[in-house]
Parts: sequence; C-alpha cells; structure tokens
Amino acid sequence: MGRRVGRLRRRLTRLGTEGASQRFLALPDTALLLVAVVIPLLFVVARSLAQVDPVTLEVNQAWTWEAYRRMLSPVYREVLARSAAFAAATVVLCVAIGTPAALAISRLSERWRTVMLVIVLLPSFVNFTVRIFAWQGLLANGGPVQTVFGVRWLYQPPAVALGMVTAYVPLYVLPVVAGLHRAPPDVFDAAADLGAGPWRTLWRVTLPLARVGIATGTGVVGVLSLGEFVVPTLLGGGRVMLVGSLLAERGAGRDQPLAGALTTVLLLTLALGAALLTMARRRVMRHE
Amino acid sequence: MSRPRPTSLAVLSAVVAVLYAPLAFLVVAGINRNPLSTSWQGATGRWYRAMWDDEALRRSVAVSLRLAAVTTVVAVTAGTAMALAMRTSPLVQRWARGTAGMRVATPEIVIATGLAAVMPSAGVDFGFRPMVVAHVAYLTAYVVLIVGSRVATLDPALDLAAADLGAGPWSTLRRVVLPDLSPAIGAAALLVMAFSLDDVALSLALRGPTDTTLPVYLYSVVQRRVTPAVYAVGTMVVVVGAALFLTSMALHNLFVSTSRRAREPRGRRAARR
Repeated sequence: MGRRVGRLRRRLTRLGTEGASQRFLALPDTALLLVAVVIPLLFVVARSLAQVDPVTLEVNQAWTWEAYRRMLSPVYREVLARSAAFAAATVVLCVAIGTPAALAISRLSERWRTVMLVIVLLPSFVNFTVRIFAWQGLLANGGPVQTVFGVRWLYQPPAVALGMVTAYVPLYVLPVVAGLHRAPPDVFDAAADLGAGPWRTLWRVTLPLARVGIATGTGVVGVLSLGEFVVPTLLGGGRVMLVGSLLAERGAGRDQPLAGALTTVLLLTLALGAALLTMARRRVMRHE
Repeated sequence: MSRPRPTSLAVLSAVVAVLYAPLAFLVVAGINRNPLSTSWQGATGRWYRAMWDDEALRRSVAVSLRLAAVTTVVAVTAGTAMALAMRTSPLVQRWARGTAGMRVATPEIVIATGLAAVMPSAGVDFGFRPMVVAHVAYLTAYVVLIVGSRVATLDPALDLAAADLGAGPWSTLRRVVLPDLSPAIGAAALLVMAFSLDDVALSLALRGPTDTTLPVYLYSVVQRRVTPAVYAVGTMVVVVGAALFLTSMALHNLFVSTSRRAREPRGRRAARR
C-alpha cells in the first residue's frame, strides 16, 4: 500500500514537470469556445442594449433598455409567456410519461435493459426535422391519427406539445434509468422484507433514489424545449409562435437589439435553472 | 429485484409505439402510391426516382456530408486534445468539464444567434466556414465529455509502467493512452457525425447563398409543401441514423467490456477460466 502511494506521488510530480507541456492540449478547444461562443454571446448581450433606427435600420450602441421595453410589449410578452408555458407543459408531460417508462426499464434484467434503452434512444438519432415532418403527415387531415383517434391536431397547440414530448422523452428517460442503475438492488428487497407494499416502496424508496436522474432529465428537457423552433414551425404552422422561432427568424437579421434582449433573457433563465439544479443535486448528494 | 409493474410496462410500450410511429409512417409513405398517404394504394418506386432526380436535394446531401466530415475530424481532434489535457491537473479537468457542460446546456439557437450577430461586425461572410466553426465549437463539448469520462477511468499504473520502461510523457500518450481511448474516441466521432447531420439551427443561421444542408433544405421544403419524395429521403435518413447509432453503441459496448476485462484482477480471470 505504502509503495503504491509513493508511486502515485512520483507520477504526480512527473506529470507536474515533464507532463505539464500537455496542458497546452487544452488550447484549441478553449480558443474555439472564446471565438465561437463567449465573444459572440457577450456581443449579443451588448447589442441588447443598443438601439435600431426605424428608417435606416442602422444599429447604434446607445446603452438603453429600449429593446427590453419593446420585448415587454403585449405581442412579445405573449410569445414569452407561451414559450414558458410550452416548456413547462413539455417538462411535466415528460416527467409524467417518462418516469414510469424509466422505472419499467430499470427493473428489467441487465441484457433487456440495454436492449430497451437502445430501442428507446434509436429514434433520437434519426434527423429531428425528418421525424417532425413525419408527424405532420401522421396528424394531417384524413391522416392515420385522425382516422384512428378522431382528433385534428395539426397546426394546433396539442400538435406542438406532442412533437416536443415525443422528441424529448428519450432524453429524459436516459438519465433517470442511469440514476436508478446506481442504486443497490438490495434496497428493494429490504423494503419488501420490512413489509412495504409496492406503492409504498415506490414512494419511499424508488422515487427518492431517482431524484437526481429526474432533476437532470428535467433540466435537459427544459433547455431543449426553451430553444425549440422546428416543432412550432412545422407542427404549429406559424400559428404557435415561440421564442425559438422568433430567434430563428430574426437571428441573422435586422432587429439585433430585440434578438439580443430575447437571447439574454433566455440565457439568464437557463443560468437560473442550472443553478437551481446544481443546488438541488448537492442537497440530495449530501443526504445520500 | 421486483418485476416491472404492468402499468409502467404499459406506459413504456405506449412510449415505444409513439416513438416509432413517425419512422414507420416514413417507410410506408415513401412507397405508397397515394401521395398524401391518407390510405394505402399499393407500392410504387416513383418517389424514390423523384428523390434521385432532385438536384437541389443531391447538392444538399453533398454539403451535409462534407460539413459532417470536416466537423467530425476537427471536433474529435480538439475534443480529444482537451480530454488529454485533463490528465495534467484537477484545475484543467474542472475547466474542461465546466466549459463542455455549459455548451451542452446552451440551446443551439442561442449559439447560432450569437455568431450570426457578431459576424457582420467582424467582417466575416456567411457560408461554409462559419458553419464548420459553429458545428465544431458546439460538438467538441460532447467529445470532451465522452472521451474525458474514459480518461478519468484510466489506470495510473499503466503510465508508471510506461515510464519505468523509459517512455517519455508524449510517447506514453501516443503508445499507451490513445490506444486505450480509441473506442471512446470512435463512439464520440459517430455521435458528432450524427449530431452534425441533424443540426438545423446553426446551419440555418450561418449558411451562405449556396451551401444549404439537407436538414435546412428539408426544413424549408416541408414548410411549403410536403412531397412524397421527401418521405423517401426521410426513409434513407432513418436508415443512416439507425446505422450510426447502432455502430456507436457497438463501439461503446466494446470499450465497456474491454475495460472491465482489463480492470479485473488476473487471478480472478484465471479462476473463472
């Protein structure tokens, strides 16, 4: 044991001197991060405080809150509220549907668990746009969904919600299964031995163990649905406008201050969400 | 362990059915004589021929493949380099994980908006090159996370053995560490390729007049009118996506099983035999 520690120390000093040159391997990715992500986003935040001339469309860095004021006008306020509502609905539906699905997968034998995860994840590797326009065909007038279920959802809010939930549910299931996988299987037997029924075990043992996974999955789904624009465009038919669609439309374009204000608000929301998630996770970890 | 409850099994089956419904629809609609696919009217190869004759579509496939190839090579190189740098100090490791996690947690549309806003002021033209930069900057994060998690499980004894045998840090990297990481690198490469082929947001915001990728082409075509040829394309996309994913999974399994075998003490392995 002592020898092993000595060796480890020797290794650390070696990497600290000779191996330190390998630290420069971090440079390419760091440079990319600065050039393509950090600097552009700082620029966008600065632009959100700029002014755009309504006639010449010239942008003037005036350091004003004008774009934010415009963002809070009824039109955009409605878009923001709708985006938040769709993101929240997507998260809630993913939790409601994905959690039982994940529990079912986690109780399978090891081989079947892998097979089932592959089955659930495979569609996510098929081009997103392609899957969504397939839904367009499924939901179309006289299409299979209307024939079987009698609902006409295309270009209505339920179609947008359906598109987002089916797209993201696999990405919610994965972390929940992974989280449950870490729990020792004995705890379920122990709960049964101590006389807990299946529902009691679910509430008092399984779900608490799944908390970290559920939190991670919620975060993933939240991030994705806040930025979504393909689903509202293809399944909402332009009638269901979300922040993502506004950005996709204006991102390259004319009203930079407004696009900047929307992006800044989106970033702040994400940062807040990430901070809450980290805090929740730390608390759970400490309890475990 | 208890068996899955019937209710949760029912939910799981429903989820799987809903996930595969669009894929099944594409395959059927791609060969259905009825162009709207509201009912089955017999099989035809007409839509596949129409797909083959669509020149704009063929061009967009070429752009997508070129973009995915360049992106994969650059992102895997930069991401693997970052993952290797994680070995030098805990600080670098925290930086690598943090910056990669941050990028993964940012919607593509935000990164796209940022670059599209800054490029005109920086005098950069929209086109293929900014698309590559954006894809690489975003997808390198996944390489860092995947390869980095493998780096974290490397056995330090191997470094020591290499050093004892007279290998310097760079030849250890090349002859010992990189071969050990190769399955993870392969899995990450396939994932990057799949994600790059999937992206709409970055390419839509940064493309020039001539370089439309397949997803962007489909995105703009289906907003106007869905033609059955698009269903044929969709079927091909399903096949390619499934193949990429299954290969990536096979590589991942390979690396899990080899690393398990490597970590198992020799005595136990012999005993099992």
